Amino acid sequence: MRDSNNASPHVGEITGTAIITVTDVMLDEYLHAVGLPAELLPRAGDGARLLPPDMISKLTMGELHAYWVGETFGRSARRAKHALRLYRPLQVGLTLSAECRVTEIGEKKGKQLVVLQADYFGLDGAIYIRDTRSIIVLSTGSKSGRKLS
Amino acid sequence: MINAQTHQFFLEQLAAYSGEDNFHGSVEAAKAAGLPAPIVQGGLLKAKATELAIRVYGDRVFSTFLMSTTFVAPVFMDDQVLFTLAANAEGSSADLPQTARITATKADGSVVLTAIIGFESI
Repeated sequence: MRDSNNASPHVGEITGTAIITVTDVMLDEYLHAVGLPAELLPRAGDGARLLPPDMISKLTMGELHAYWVGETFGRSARRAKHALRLYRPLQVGLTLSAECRVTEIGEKKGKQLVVLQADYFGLDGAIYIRDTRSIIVLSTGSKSGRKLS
Repeated sequence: MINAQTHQFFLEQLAAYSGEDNFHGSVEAAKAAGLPAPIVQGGLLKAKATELAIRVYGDRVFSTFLMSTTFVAPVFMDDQVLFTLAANAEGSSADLPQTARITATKADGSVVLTAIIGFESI
């Protein structure tokens, strides 16, 4: 949530935080939504099902950045690129925490480009996922009246 | 080896992915937003690209994995999209030496998504 509607987005700004523990129910709902057959999922050594690499990003996108993007740019924002790096397997029962920040504000082909990055850590402090996404802002006017720095 | 699959994005799936109260899952909401039809979520497109990677490379996609996706053009409800995978694309690195490129195209041949994936060798 933004501190002020008058402040400009800036590099280093935190766009959101999230903590998630994935359950079998959450996994089954995700598999249904994307149409991924459950039999394609391998299991960890303890029998827990492994998660598709992009599932966590989907489940946490609202808290981490989507609400912030909506508040800041309204409908003028378009997702341009998305890089997902998985460092170690994800499995049912795993708890991850993440914080998303603005890492770059620039310009591309006359349009504003905003880069957001979220790192997901386990309870042991190990990194599991790095999620980096670029957003193109089609117009300089924003829903909230804020301007890019 | 499977290296291509086609998927048609129906409204039911778009609504299942992000609910029926927005321009992804509702025809009325899409029209109110000035869109010709509900627009397919970028995350859903990416999930289908990931599914192709899983079908080709199996369990390796669930361990150390990188996927860098560029969204080229919008996809709308009922569009049929062909996802194809070609191995050994550019972009390999020391810790992710194996790479492949996934390209998604509509029935008219227009590209809607490209992705580079990378993973550890066996």
